[in-house]
Amino acid sequence: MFRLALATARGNLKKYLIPILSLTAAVVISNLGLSGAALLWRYSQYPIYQAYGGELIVIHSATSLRSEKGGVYSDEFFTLFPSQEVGQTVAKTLPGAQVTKTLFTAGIVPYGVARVTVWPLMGRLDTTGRWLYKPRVLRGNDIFTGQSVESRAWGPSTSDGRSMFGEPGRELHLRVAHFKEGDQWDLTSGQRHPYTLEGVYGPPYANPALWAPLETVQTHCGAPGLVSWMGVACANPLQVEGDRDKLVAELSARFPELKVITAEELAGMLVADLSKLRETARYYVPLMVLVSCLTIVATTMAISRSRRRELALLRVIGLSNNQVRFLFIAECSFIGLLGGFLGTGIASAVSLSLFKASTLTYQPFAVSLLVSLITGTIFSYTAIRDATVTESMRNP
Amino acid sequence: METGFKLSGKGLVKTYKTGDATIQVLAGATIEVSAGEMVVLLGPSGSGKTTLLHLLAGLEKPDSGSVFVNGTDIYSLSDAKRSRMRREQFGFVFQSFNLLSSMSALENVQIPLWTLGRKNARVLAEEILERVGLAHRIHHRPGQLSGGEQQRVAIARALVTQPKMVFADEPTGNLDRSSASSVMDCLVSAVRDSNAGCLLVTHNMQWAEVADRVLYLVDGRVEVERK
Ligand SMILES: Nc1ncnc2c1ncn2[C@@H]1O[C@H](COP(=O)(O)OP(=O)(O)OP(=O)(O)O)[C@@H](O)[C@H]1O
Ligand SMILES: [Mg+2]
Repeated sequence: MFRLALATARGNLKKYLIPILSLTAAVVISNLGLSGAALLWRYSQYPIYQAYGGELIVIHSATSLRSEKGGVYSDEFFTLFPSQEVGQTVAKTLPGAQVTKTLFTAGIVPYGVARVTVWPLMGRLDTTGRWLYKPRVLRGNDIFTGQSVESRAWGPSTSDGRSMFGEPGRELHLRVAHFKEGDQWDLTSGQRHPYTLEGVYGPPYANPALWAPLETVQTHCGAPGLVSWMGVACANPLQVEGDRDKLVAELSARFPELKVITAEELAGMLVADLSKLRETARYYVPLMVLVSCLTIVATTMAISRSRRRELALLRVIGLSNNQVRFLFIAECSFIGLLGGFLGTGIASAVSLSLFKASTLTYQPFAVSLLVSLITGTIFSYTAIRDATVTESMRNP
Repeated sequence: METGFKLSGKGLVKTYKTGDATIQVLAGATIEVSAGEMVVLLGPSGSGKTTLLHLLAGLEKPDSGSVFVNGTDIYSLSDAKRSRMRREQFGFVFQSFNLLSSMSALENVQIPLWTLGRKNARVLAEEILERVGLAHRIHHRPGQLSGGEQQRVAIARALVTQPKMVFADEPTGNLDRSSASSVMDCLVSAVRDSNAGCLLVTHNMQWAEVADRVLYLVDGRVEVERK
């Protein structure tokens, strides 16, 4: 039986090629559709969109970044969002307004198969070129093994040694000049860690799985660089525009890198993006799953037609009904398996380059295999009956 | 040499329904073939020769009547057992399209051996292909062989398992005169060599002379030749 299946598969490989390729295409397409849906879900989970909680958003995007080979890099030290100063300015210029939430940028560093967040080195130069905040590792998790860094590099501190997040800021002897592609952090422990900044992360201690690709956030915020921001709840939501102008006038002199947008503007960007995706996903995914199912059914039908005579012949040679059916189903599943496998592979590659994230879904693969199996089984019963066997032996 | 092998069909009735019309193809046909015996079945087109052959080979159940192989009613067996019997004891040659088009001649001949789980399938297949004069064609696919060569591959495949019984349904029906006689010679000598029983269906009277017995299918019944 095995030799027979092998010889059949080898002999029919060319015949299978078209069905396999069309199935591959269907799986690719439905996989990409599902990837879009997965991405949509992830968008909705971005802490950065959930947490602003104010009508105005002060965006800090000073450090310029360049995107290269799947990573985002900077040649400068990251400058820290001057949250305290901005907070004071808000209190002074907009009576009754409140700072709601402040988000900082973190590095999302690939670590094995997972990603860990590493709050990057942040520093801030004052006008005389002195470090206002010394470059620090703000926070790192398990990338830094053992006691060495986790305990010592805990939390940022200002130059006078005060902690920003209520954690003890400790001195760390870091020698980092510039970040370039392939640069590594040289920690005093002697360990080296490749650094890539892939995305933006919400408030400290939020779920590290929920990170947003930096490019997306930049697009939504209209900010070219690294993004940190502060939400400001205005006293009178009807006067948001006026408040914005006041705040900008106040801030622009001291912090020209700051930008103030309204929540409405941000929401507009986000909603436009989301609804585009949702619309596509809504019609596209079921359609594509349907199309791939139809492809499979058509393929199976075509095979059962074209191979009817051969299956009948096998039956005559002495295979039992069940053995012939097994061969046929194996053939169909082989096509389903290969088509699903190829399709999933290609789709994940495409989605990686398209969405900058591997939003691989297994559903189309499972569907293609399952549907192949089911239709194969059904058609094996219609193609291989005693009547069809003798009929096709009579009329070749 | 098992001389004991005997295939017999008793009182076989087969009716086909197409729409409202029913055609009674077989009306109590009775036939017997033993090992080593060459039986030629003649009959006009549409008389039910192929139908009778299918019934005898266990491919299609008769409406009534029974088919016995060495005394066992084959339609009382399960499909798996009946198929197994077909695989072990029967060989088939049809008018055309006997071969799997996607496989080489050698692979086609090996199929029955594979299904029987024989170890030396390739050697046996090569041997028998040589005997039917196709040693130089073993890697050709059916599409690359002439009609006569294809039929000889089919004969090799039918006989490679050393069956007790060979069914041949107009094996030369699609061939010109000269290749027909070479194919028929090939079949007859191969069957004679293996001492199998053979039921040869044809409507060509010419082949009657190779037979031990000649039968006619008339009005759904088998009649012995009246000369
Ligand atoms: N599945 C079927 N449904 C209806 N009628 C059928 C079916 N199979 C065969 N028949 C009819 O049964 C009759 C006998 O067919 P069969 O093929 O056995 O004849 P035959 O003697 O082999 O003819 P030929 O010499 O042309 O091959 C024919 O009239 C045919 O039309
Ligand atoms: Mg016929």
